[in-house]
Amino acid sequence: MVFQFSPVVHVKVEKKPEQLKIPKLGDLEVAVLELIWARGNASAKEAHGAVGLSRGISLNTVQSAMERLYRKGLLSRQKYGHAYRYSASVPRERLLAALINDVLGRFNNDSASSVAAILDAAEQYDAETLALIEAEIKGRRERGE
Amino acid sequence: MSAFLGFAWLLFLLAAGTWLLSSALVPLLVRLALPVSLTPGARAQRLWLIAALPLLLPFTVVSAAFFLGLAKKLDWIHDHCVHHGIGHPHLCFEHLPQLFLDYPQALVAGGFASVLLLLSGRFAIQQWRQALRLDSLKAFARGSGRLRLIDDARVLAFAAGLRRPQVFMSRGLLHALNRRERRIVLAHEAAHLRHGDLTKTFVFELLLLLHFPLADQALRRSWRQVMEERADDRVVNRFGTTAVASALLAVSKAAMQPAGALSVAGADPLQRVQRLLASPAERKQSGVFAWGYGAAVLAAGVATVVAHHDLETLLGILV
Repeated sequence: MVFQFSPVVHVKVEKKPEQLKIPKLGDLEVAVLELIWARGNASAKEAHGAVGLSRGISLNTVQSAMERLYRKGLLSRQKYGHAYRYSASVPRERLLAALINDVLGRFNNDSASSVAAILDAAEQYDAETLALIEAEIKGRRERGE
Repeated sequence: MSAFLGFAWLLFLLAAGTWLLSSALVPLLVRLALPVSLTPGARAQRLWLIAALPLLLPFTVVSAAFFLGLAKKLDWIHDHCVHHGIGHPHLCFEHLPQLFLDYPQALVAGGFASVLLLLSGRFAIQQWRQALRLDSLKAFARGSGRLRLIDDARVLAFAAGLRRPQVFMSRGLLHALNRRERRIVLAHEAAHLRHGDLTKTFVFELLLLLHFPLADQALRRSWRQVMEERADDRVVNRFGTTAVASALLAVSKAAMQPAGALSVAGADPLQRVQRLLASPAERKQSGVFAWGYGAAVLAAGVATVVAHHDLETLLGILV
């Protein structure tokens, strides 16, 4: 049986994009974010104890990183006594999804030339074509091809 | 000095004219010269040639005009310029054109240069931002080698990065596929790295800077499709056609699930599956286009030299 090469019918499902601007994040900033996502909230001292000590980083450096995340809008904070307690403004899944979308050039006009993605899958494919292809593959498997 | 500027202005007009002509030809070539029946390699070759046309054709014509001027200066060809009248600028170093260049000419030339600089600058900034985003993504991803795992429920697999390209795969993809399918997807992405596809795409995008907006989109789409099909073919050699087609189909179906829906700048997987399943005899190669293209560009250069008098007359009308 010769499998005919025929055009695929697509039905494009348009989704309004959820755009979140992701600033550049350094390793320490990511480590702080991961800590806060895991714990819910943390002070600079707690964050230093968890991620700074093992990296040989001072408390001031961790404080600066948290301050930067606050200014980037990724952390919110409340003052308790003399110290701030930081919590995440953006859920982890949402930030990671937005970052991935940025890298893949999903919602902007960036050419994203340095990415080769395996699929283009915002579309719902014609069920009949899918079924035909599946049947063909099944047939080939049964014939041992 | 003004005579040299006049000569430069003529060359600029030549370059701009041929750039416009080649840009007008590109949509026609995209429509006619990239049938899906050709192998991905053949289509890639044609895409390179089409993408390079707005650069190659003006370069050839301007070089030919420059050579003509030089040839007269060095007495390689007979100097017949003295027989031309006023209002007929010469592409000639012996009799540099006496043109009155003023603000309009400066504005036009400056405008072109500014647009080119703007596009190049924007491209450079895009690449720099992309590098920053990738660095941020790597900080979230697990693994430290060429393979990075992203904690995302969606079905994702991509190769990324110019300086140190890596493969990224998502938790969603690992859960959605069986072991063999995962190996095929990984091999596909690794094929992009091994064959320098990301660098080639970068250079291709550089060429697209010289194209009009809609034409460059069509070329970009075709290029990405071809890149993915080539990677598919490389993986077919190792796993077999049916296995690769089946893996692609599994990825497509998994990505259609609600959590899996994602629009990325990739290629059409169902078209790729159908191509894989098509008979090998239906896939053609052809060198005719490349030869024809080369001959046409060369002919443009030769025509510039042979018909330079008519060209000078045309330039005289324009200036």
